[in-house]
Amino acid sequence: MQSHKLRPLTRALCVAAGVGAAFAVWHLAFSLGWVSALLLPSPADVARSLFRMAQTSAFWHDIASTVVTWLAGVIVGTMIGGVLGFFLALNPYIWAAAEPWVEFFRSLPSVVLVPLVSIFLGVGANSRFACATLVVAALMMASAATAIRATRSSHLRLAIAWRASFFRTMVSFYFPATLSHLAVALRAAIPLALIVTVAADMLVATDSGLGRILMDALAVFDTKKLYAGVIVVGVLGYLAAAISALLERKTIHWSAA
Amino acid sequence: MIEFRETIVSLSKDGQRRLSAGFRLSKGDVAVLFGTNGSGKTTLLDLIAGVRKPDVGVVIVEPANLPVAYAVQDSSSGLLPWKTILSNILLPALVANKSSERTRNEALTLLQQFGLGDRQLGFPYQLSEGEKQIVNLVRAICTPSEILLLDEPFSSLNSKTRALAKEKLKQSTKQRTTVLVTHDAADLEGPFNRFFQLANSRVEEVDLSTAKSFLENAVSQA
Repeated sequence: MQSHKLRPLTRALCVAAGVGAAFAVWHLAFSLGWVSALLLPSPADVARSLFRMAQTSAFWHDIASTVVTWLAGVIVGTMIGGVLGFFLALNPYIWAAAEPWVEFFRSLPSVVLVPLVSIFLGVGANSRFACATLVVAALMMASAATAIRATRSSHLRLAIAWRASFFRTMVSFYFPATLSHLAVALRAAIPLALIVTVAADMLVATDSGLGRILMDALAVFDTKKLYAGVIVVGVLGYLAAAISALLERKTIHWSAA
Repeated sequence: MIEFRETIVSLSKDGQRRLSAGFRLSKGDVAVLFGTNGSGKTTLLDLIAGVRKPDVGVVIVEPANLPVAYAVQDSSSGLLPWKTILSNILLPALVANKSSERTRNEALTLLQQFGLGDRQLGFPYQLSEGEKQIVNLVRAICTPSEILLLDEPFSSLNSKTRALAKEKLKQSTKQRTTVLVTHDAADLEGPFNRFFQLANSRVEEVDLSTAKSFLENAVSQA
């Protein structure tokens, strides 16, 4: 099969067609009664519900609350995980001791952390932030350690042959390799942090955030609001993935090889 | 100067396959290492570079604290992907705190001669395997070192580029101790004066005709 690289306009048209087709099927499903109107409101009703919500300050406050926690979790988790993973993995003995724990937390379904963290931090924004941070940190620790191991097995031969000092080895070999691995891992960390932030909104019953909108809508079975909330979360995730992919292409373009 | 003094090194993780070596190369020597796959050629280069330590004996490299110029076999892993072509070439000099305008000019001249002059600000992923091998070779030549190690440096080059690479190599080996690993009899047409065969778990010095005969037979049997 031939691989085709689409032109930007063609690609945009394909995306628009895909979105349009999904809404058309949704509208048909509603109009023809394939699914009960109670479970699946019309796209127009959902749009109206979203429009009404967007006119309230509470909606924007909820979005800001989730987005700020989410991004703070990504930033703090990346810094903590990146630095810890880097220094732990520099020493193979220490890494051998730490790796099972890092892999344990990395492999844990992220939402499992929410009730666990809330035991210590209680319900509220702190738990939500801690969950996002922990999930990102575990991923970044593993990624930084992978970078160290990869550097050790290839480029470090040259550093040794060239009699590079410890400082120069760090600056010219380990740091750039680790940063590039972290940038790649960020693409996975960003949506993961959104998942756990919204899940924490719902599970630890914070008084703000997109998860709260979903839980409030569910409590009164307001499906229009529920679908509107899901669409907002989905759009946020989509935009974040697109921005992180763009950042990755711009900052570590050479990793595309 | 490079000296293997009663050196033994493991070639396998279980230590079952071992290689013993005892020879000395002086400044100006240009040596060729050859042998079957897995006989330990790259391991010997790693011992000289200091990347590996021998299990028994010592490997003496003088001057000890100067960088060793090393064109590794896998050209891709030899280049740092986040650095430009020119930065990759100048990195050993930078590491040795011996960056100079002269090294930079030499690198640019060599890139120009190899037809890569306009790629100096490009990145390794934009190069073909052969071009990466050229950059590795240029970097080895530009490394401020008295020891030059080349692990199959011409394997991906076409005949024209290979001839030019040999010519440049000939010029850069004069004040150095050079060790080259090859599987190709054609590579012996160079400035080489010492030939070492790796066979039966040991390193044995042979003459040019023995080296040629081994490498030509290896090709015909392949």
